[in-house]
Amino acid sequence: MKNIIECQELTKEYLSGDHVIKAVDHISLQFAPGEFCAITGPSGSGKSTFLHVLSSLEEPTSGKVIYADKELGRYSDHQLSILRRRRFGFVFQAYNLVQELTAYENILLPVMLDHKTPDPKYLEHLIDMLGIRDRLNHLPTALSGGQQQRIAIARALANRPSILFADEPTGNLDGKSGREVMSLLKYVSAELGVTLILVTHDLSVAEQADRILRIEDGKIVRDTKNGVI
Amino acid sequence: MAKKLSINAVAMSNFRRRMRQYLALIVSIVMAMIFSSGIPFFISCAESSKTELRHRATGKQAALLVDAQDAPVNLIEDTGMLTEPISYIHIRSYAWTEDREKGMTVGWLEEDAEKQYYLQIREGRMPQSEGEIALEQTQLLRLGLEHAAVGETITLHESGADGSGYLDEVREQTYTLCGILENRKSVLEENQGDTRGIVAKIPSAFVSRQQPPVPGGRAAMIGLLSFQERGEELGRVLVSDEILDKLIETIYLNQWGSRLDPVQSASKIAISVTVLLAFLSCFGIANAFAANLNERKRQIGLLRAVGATKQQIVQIYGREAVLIALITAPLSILLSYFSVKLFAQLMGNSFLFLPDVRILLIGGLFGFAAVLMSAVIPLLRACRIPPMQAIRDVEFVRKMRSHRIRSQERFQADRLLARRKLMFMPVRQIALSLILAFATVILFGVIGQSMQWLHKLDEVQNPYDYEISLHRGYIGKSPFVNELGLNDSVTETQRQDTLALGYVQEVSGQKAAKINLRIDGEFPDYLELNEYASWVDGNSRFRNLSGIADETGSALTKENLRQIVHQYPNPDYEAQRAWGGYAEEIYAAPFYAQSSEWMQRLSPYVREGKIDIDKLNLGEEVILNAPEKVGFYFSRSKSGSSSMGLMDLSADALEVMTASDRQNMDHILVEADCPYHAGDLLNISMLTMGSDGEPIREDRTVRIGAIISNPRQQEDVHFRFFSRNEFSVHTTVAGLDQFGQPFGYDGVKIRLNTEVTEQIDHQMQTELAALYPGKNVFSNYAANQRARDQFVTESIVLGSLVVVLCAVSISLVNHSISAQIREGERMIGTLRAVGASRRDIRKIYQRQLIPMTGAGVLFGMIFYLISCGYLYFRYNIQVLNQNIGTFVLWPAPILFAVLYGICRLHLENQIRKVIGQSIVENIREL
Repeated sequence: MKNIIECQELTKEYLSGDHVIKAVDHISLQFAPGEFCAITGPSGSGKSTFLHVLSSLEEPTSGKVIYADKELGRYSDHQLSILRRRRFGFVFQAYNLVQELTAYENILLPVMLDHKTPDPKYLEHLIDMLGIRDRLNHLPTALSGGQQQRIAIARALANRPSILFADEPTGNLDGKSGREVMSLLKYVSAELGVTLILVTHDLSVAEQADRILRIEDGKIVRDTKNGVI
Repeated sequence: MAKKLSINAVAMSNFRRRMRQYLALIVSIVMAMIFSSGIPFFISCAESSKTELRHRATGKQAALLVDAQDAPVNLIEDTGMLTEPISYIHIRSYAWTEDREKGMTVGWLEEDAEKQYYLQIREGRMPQSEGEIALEQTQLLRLGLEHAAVGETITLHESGADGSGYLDEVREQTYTLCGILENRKSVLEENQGDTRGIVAKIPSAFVSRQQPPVPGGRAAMIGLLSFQERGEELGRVLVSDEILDKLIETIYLNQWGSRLDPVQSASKIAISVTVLLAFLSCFGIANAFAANLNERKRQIGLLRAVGATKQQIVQIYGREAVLIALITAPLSILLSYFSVKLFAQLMGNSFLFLPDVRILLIGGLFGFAAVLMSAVIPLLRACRIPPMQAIRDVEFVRKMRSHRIRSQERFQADRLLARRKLMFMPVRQIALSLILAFATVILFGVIGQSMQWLHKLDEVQNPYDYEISLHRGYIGKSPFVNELGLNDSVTETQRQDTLALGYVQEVSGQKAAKINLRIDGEFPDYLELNEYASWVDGNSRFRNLSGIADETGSALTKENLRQIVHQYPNPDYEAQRAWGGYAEEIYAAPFYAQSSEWMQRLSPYVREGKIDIDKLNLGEEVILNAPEKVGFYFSRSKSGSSSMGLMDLSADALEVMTASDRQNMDHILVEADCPYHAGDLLNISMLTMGSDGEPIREDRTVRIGAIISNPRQQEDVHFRFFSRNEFSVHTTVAGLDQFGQPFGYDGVKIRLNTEVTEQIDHQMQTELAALYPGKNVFSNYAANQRARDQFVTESIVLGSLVVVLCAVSISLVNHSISAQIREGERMIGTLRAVGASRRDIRKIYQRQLIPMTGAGVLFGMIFYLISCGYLYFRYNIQVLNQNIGTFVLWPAPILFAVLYGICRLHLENQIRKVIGQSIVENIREL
């Protein structure tokens, strides 16, 4: 099966004072369409940075990210914006909803940025799956953490993306809410056929994935699909 | 070894880390302080300059007591209102060269008087020993000594002073000319407005205190009085019953006219806007600090959460404020100082740079205090917020929750976000709009008045460079035809002498007299009411016309007014008729005469007939200025006072009617068309005072050659030519001489054969003052210079206000946008993550800029339009121009474009910084 996204020799370095820190160290990986991949590792291992670089939120220091046979490094800023709004979805640990917009407006945001007419059937389906119908007219400040994260998931999926990137989506939630959000995330992405790449340090969350990657010191130390590197 | 962490170290470290932000803060504070300390400094300089210029022109004394040796000086001193003891000028003699009429009084100054009188030396020095003399420049010319140089010997005929008069004995005295003085006497004459009598005694030549007195003489004395303010109060005391008899003829109070105060009106405006500027400056500083602190609320919360006390927080941020104040206060003082100095240089001789350092220091201290207060108040407020609320920014959450928002089914993300952001800060938006609306209205005023001024400069092309006129340029109650000519009028010899001066090309004389129009048949209502009603109304015996009308229980109409005035005929008018032996009714009108060339200038205003100069010169015809339609109005104010008079109701007059004219027009009781036509015969009558004091009456019947409409708007024609009378008779000078006895000119107009420069103007003013002692010398060049100086000063002051208002508005907008961008960095990151392009992000803020900068300008423009509309439709374009200036709309879009442009540049800079970072950096939490 053809890969939906892959990276080759991906490296991300930071300067901390006089020291160069390699947050991502020459990682090469491929992800298949519809795959649910969990990335784990200890704090500061570089798992979030890897996700950010892979999803074009950050530029790599070196290496390539290839999406649908095209290298993202060659995309202009504007092309990357279009890619993010149409093909990628993001779920953050801190939800990152726009405070001035209602829950429904937050969900519509990527569609509206793309100047498209929303597909009401699809949105209804999404809203029902996530169980957020009664919170749609509320501002984010009036919602609980779990509710905000569900809105964030709906927003990430509103434009029918191919890949959903989630960075510690349950990190700010209590155990019950975290489990609910996780099962919804898994269910919705499977239902819609979306590739889910998720960063977590929670093993119980990671165990639900089709594939688990473990990163330590910026390197992949374990890949359940390819075996230990 | 680790350094000890002191509060100073924390404050300094904060300062170093946020250097760029602090630099912006310092610049905005310095700007604000330049206006708060610079404008008072400017006003103080303007006041000092004005006072010094006045002192140089007229002396430091507030009044001159002529013939002080006969005055009850002790009574004046007893008033306790004098700020210094009286000092004296001693009149030694009256001296001349060849023509006694062109002589002068010679005096010497006591030591204190020398300081008080403050004579300005043009060349040489004041006399120090016997035999030396210093003369005013004008007097040298009058004596025919214009070529005399300092050090030369001059010989004068001299009559010693003998109290109020002079000795009969004339002796010859030789002096060495030791100095030439700036004109003083002619300035005082002109300033006083009436030169006959006492002012003639003011000396224009000075000898030393060592000069022996004229044998047999008794020095007359002029006392120099100094008191607070301008002497109105002392003046009232001096003319009180107790000392009235002795002093009324001898006191001379200086009337400080606006002619000597080129920046007077500007200062008044400056004073009125100072408070506003200081307030706005404080507001600007406070806003800059508040915005700075608001961004750091979370930091304060964190410091409080880790145990910093309120005092420590205040100390940390307070020391930053002290540091900023220490940098900004001296910087703004220096900038203010040099700005005013530059302004003084630009203004030339009309603005002397006399800095009062105390004002600058007070301004600096005020600025220092303003910075500290502006920093401390928001800081104390920030310290009161509990730590976690500060960290979470609960205030924002509360603000959001207070709004009921309905979800949009479809939207443009940038537009919706811009709208929501504006919605959540209405107070700032309202404050901003009000400030900008105010700035816009002021800007319209400044531009409108400037345009009006430039238009006026362009339009008023006075063809004459100088005008000489009698100080009493009005027609009084005297019935004599030659009322003005009786008293020291300008002679033909003077006119010829003027023509002989260098640069002079044309000297055109004008005469003003009084004439009685004999009314054949019935007295027209409007003239009858005008003649009678004012007497009845002004006479306390009859209370007033309105009271009489009230008694009759009816409104005041033509009929009952006529009835009333006939019951109480005007005895003055009746006496005048009886005295002149008139059986018919009469109407006293002014009779003006100009040169033939000048009369041709009236051609554009001829309504009927034509101007035939030959017939005018022969006295066969006259020109009548009469309204096409005339009315009599009687209006009564709420306070009960009334006004009445004739009013020109012709279409031309309506166009240029003032606001008060318009109000009077609502109270017209009688209207009539002009009773005269070209070709009609006009019965005129003149009363000339005979040698026995009895009137000599001379009646003539002349043809009306042309009827003209009063050229009200044409100032070059109107100036000193048409009175406010609705009816006036005009002819040529030669024509007027055909009526009664020839008499002198009321004034002359002078045209030079070259363009006037400062040097030529000075020379001409000196020569004309010498030639026309006691007359008003008007210099068109000097008047234009004064107008220019005043315009520049006013424009600078009002322009500063506009700049401050705009600067405060820009600062508010920029701080608001910067704060939004910095506080909303995470939102920007999120939007970028979900696919917003840089353009989308930029548009969110651009869309906010339009209402932020545009709403206030729009409100200001609407207010301006409403005001203009009211003045135009309620009154006319003339009233609109008088009150608001030229109607212009273009400043509003320009102001908007400038504000938007500056804020847009700032926005681009801020956005570039944020977008330059990666999305992850945008999203990262503190």
